[in-house]
Amino acid sequence: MPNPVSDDLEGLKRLDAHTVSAIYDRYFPDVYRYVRFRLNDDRQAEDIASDVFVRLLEAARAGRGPETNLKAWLLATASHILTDHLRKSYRRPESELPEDLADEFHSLTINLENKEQARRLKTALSNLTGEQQIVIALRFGQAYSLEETALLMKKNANAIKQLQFRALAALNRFLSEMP
Amino acid sequence: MRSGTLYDSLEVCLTALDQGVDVETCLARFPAQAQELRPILQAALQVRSSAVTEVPDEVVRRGRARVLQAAAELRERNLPAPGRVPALRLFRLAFSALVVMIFVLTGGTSLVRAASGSLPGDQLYPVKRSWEDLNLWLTFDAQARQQLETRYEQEREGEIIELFGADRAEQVSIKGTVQIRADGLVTVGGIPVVWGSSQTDGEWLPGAYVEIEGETGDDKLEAARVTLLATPTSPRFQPVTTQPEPQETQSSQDSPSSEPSETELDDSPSFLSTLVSGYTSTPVSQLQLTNTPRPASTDSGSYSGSTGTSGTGSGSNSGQAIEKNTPGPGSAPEDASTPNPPDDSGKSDDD
Repeated sequence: MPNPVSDDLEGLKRLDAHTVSAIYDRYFPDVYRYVRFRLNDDRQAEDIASDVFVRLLEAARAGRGPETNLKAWLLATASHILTDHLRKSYRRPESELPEDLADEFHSLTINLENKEQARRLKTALSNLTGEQQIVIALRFGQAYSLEETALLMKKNANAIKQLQFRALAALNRFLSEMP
Repeated sequence: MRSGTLYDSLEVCLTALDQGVDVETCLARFPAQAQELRPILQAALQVRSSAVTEVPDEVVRRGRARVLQAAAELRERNLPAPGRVPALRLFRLAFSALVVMIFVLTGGTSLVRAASGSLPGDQLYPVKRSWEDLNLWLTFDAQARQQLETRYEQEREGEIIELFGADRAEQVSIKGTVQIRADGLVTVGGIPVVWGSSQTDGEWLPGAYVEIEGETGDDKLEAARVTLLATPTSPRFQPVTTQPEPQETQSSQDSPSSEPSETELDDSPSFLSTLVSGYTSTPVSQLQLTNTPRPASTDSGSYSGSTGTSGTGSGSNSGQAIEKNTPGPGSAPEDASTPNPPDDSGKSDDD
C-alpha cells in the first residue's frame, strides 16, 4: 500500500539525519502550536515540542513508531507528555508562569486582551477532560477542519461534533464559574 | 434528533465564524437554538483568539539542533556493543535454569509448547530458545546432537522468514553458509543478508560458515555483526583428504575441493559438533576474508565430512577463527550424514 510517509518512516528507523530534519521541519510548527496552545509557558512548550520528536526517534528505532499517520502519532505523543507535565505542575501550581516568562508570553498571545484573560482560559481548559482538551486544541488552537480532527482523533465527524459541543459548553461553564 | 441538529448547528456556525460572519448573524439562522448556542460560540471565539499562529524562528532552530543531536546519539548507541552476545547467552542460561525449575515443578510441558511458535521479540521466545539449549545440553550422542543443531538452524531460518512475512524488525542471529547468487544477492542459510548501516563493508566469502547477528527488515537481514565459524576449506564442508599446508593463513587460491589445506582442529575427535556450536568474537572484517571462488555444490553436499582419526583436514586459518568452546565427547562423527543446512539454503534461494 503506497504511503507518502513510508519512506520517511524507513529513514527514521535508520535515524537518517536528512529524514529526521525533513520530518522535523514539516511537523514541528504543528506540534509546537499544539503544545503552546495548551501550556501557558513558552520555554516548557518548546522543550515538550522537541521532546516529542526525540521520542519519535526512540520509538522508531525500537520499532514502536508510527505505522502510517505520523502527524497523529506526534500530536498524540505531545498530548501524553503534556498530560504528565500538567499533572506534575498541579502539585506545585504557584511555580507556574514566573514574571519574566509572562513578558515573553505576551508577544505570542498577540490577540489576547491581557495576560489575565489568557491565564483564565488556560486554567479553564485544564479542567476539561483529556479528549475535550485535545478537540479544542486541534479545532481552535490549530484550526484543523472537522474532518482532519476526526482523522487525528480516530473518530468519525459526528463524534467530533458532539465532543466539541460538550467541550465548549464545559469551557464556558468553567469560565463563568471563575472569579 | 434535536441534540443532533444542535451539534450540526454549532459546526455550521463555527465554519461561518471562520469565514468572517459574526455571531449574531449566524445565530439568526438557528433562532430556536440561539440561546443555547450563543455562550458556546463566544467561548469558541475566545479560545480561537488565544491560538498561537507563529512559531519563532529561534524556537525552531533550537528544537532542530536538539532533535538532530538526539538522532546522532541514538545512532551511536545502536552500534553493536561488545559483550552484548555473551550477555544474551548468559541471560538464556539463567532462563534455562528457570525453565527447568518450572518444568520440574509443574511436571508439564505447556509452557514449552506455548512457546514453540514464538518468534524473536515475542515474550515466550526466550523459553523456546532455552528449551532448545537444554535439549542440546542433554544430548550427548554426537550424531544426535548434530541433527538437533541442524534442526534448530532451520528453525532460526523459518523464524526469520516469518518475521519477513509479518514485516517485523527484530534482532536475530542465524548460522549458515554464505552463498552469492548470480545477481549478487548474498544469502546466509537462504536468508538474504546485507551489511547493516553500522557495519563497515567486508567481503563475503562464498561457502564460509558464519554466524550473523542483525535486524530483520524489508525482507532482508541487516548484518550488524558477522562471525566466521568455518572457512569453506574447513572439514565442516570438506571430506578429509590431502596433505597439510600448515603455514597458510588464508584460503588457498588452489581449488579447495582438490587441495584443501589442513588444520590441527581436525585432531579434535568431535570437531564437527564443536564447530557448529562454537563461535568466535572476531568479526569477519578483521579476518580479511578472501573471496575464494567455490562451487555452491561443494559446501552443500559435503556435510558428511568425516574427520577420521588421521589428523588431516583443512586450512589452518580456521584455527584463528574458531574457538573450541566445548570439547566434544566420544569419537569423530564419521557417519554424520545429516543433511546440510546449505542444501536448504539452496532451495530457499530459488524462492
